Amino acid sequence: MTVQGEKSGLDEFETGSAIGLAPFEEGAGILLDELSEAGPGMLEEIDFSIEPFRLSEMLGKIPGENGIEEEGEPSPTEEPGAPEGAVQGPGDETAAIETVAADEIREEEPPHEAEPEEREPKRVPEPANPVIGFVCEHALDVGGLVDARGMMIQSTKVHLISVPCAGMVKPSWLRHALDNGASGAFVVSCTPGSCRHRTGASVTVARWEGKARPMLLSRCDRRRLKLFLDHKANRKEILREIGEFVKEIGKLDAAGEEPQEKPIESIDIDGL
Amino acid sequence: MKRLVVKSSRPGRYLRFRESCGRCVSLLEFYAARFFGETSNPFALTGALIVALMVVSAITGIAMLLHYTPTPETAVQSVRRLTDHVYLGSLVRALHRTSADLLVISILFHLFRNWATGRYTGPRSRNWVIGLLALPLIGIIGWSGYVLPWDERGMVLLAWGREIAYGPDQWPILGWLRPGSIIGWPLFSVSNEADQLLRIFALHVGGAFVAIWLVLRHLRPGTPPRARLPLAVWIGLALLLLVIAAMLPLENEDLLTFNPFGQPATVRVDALVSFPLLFYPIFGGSFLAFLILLVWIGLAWLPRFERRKVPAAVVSEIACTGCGLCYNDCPYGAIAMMPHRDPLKRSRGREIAKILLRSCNSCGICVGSCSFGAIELPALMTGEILSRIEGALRADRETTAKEHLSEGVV
Repeated sequence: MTVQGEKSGLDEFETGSAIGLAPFEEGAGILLDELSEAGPGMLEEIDFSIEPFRLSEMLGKIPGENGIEEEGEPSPTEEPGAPEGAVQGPGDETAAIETVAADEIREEEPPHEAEPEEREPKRVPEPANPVIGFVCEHALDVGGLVDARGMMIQSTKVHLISVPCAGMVKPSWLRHALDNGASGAFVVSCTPGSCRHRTGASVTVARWEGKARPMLLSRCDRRRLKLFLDHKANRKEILREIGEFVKEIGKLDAAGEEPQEKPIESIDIDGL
Repeated sequence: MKRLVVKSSRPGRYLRFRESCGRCVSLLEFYAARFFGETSNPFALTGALIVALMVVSAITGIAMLLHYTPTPETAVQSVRRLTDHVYLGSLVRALHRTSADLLVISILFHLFRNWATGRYTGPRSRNWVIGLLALPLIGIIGWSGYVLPWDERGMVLLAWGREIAYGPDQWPILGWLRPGSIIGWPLFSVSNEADQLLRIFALHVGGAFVAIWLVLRHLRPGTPPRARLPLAVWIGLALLLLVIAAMLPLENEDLLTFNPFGQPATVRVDALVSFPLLFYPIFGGSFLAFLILLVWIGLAWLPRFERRKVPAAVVSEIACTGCGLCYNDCPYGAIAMMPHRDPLKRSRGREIAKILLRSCNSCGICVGSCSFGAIELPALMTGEILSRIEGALRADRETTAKEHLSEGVV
């Protein structure tokens, strides 16, 4: 919810200006400064002059990961021979980001002919469809993280729904999300020891593991479902883990894998 | 580009302070969990620790009771005999003292943690007040424990206690009603020492029973799964108590011979058990009684600063099958299984869930438990959540279609 928290939570991405973006810290600063200056109220209209950043793209820019070299990625300001105005520097706040699949980049862009805009580093693709996240309001405060539609500001593909306790989330809601075309779904819960409502986290874990009713059906595609058990003091870690999960979903979608359901071998009325 | 951003409502100054304290507690719990493990984290088990320490205090207290004689002439000698001649007597005394100290620490941290993390609002405020009732009682039990040996320190503390109890009589306006006499009369209206010691003894033992009853009442509004300590924590606690008891043994030098004419300059009082007594030399009995009352009323009043009107869960009598899953999962004991109102269904033994409005914290765990959609939170209905999911997916499809159109992709 605070500017410092947001920045510190994603510090590792600040160096990733190689793809022609305004550095993350400036963008976040504008965004969150406006947030902090805005008066009280649940809903406020704020003019943002920049496009929202995408979490998975930023994750794709972690040096040393996903095929991105730690060195050798020229920064926009140091680009030798780059045409003037081709690379958008930190001051250009109108920078828009497009997601390009890694495979497309590999096929269509020979390195020796690439223009500065086309020579974007390989990025992990975003999920094809939104990922639905159910967030315990005591595990993660979504204030300042989501827009009015519930989409994460950092990623337009993650829709967060805040609930009073993770124990409120029915397993059937996760399945409903997948059945209706979501690329994935996740639940953010407190750790069982720190649950505000005593048993919410442990009940959630038990349902997830199939030890308590209503249980999450075993035939659901578990690759696209995830339960995050995080302590509320560890906000940075929660956001990082969500980003990692979204990245995994993006990889599955890029590989053309559809959500798989195991065949129904018997009628499982318990998991309904 | 204009976007609507949802913000948290700006909390007031008090709430901001409380939440910053809550963040400190959360950080402490977080790092403690890394060290002790999630299930054995003592900072998240303060309630269970209190129960465990009360058990230790009660057991050691009963063991000491077998050797203690509550008469003014023999009280000191019986305690000396217990320390010197009874097998493990010194250790039992030290364990009693140490467990009482740790009990007070646990209670104070439990109080602070529940306040800082907001676990005292709404229906939990009743629990908060019940816990607060036990707080002065624990202090009185600690004070009476020091008086029981009936030595010089006991005499001084008895005088201080009398001053504090009768202190309200000196308050302006309220003093006319003689509230102090009402408080102090049952304990101090005696003509001889023997009766006085007996009453102190009865207060110490009877107060312990009342404290245990209050703790049971404190647990009753819910089904706290963590009221029982894990075995590892029990072992750790036992080792800690033994180490402290071995390092700080109670010797007979602690017992001062009764000297009716002497007034010691300093009285060695365990700061943890009877910490309000430390302020007696500074404020005196009357003002200290006022301060104690003021702090207690302030603590009891705190839940009124954070009134949250979140409607309780509701049950659909048509959809409820009486399976009892919500009843089992509710952490606050806010669901009762009642006979169905339909005579036909009732005759078949069908039950129905009923929400106890005064206990419901609107956590929604019962909503997650119900496989039949029979329980809903009015503030966040299942239909609303499902429509939000579908809305997000639909909006994404529309955005993608628009992008494709703008790019000329058909």
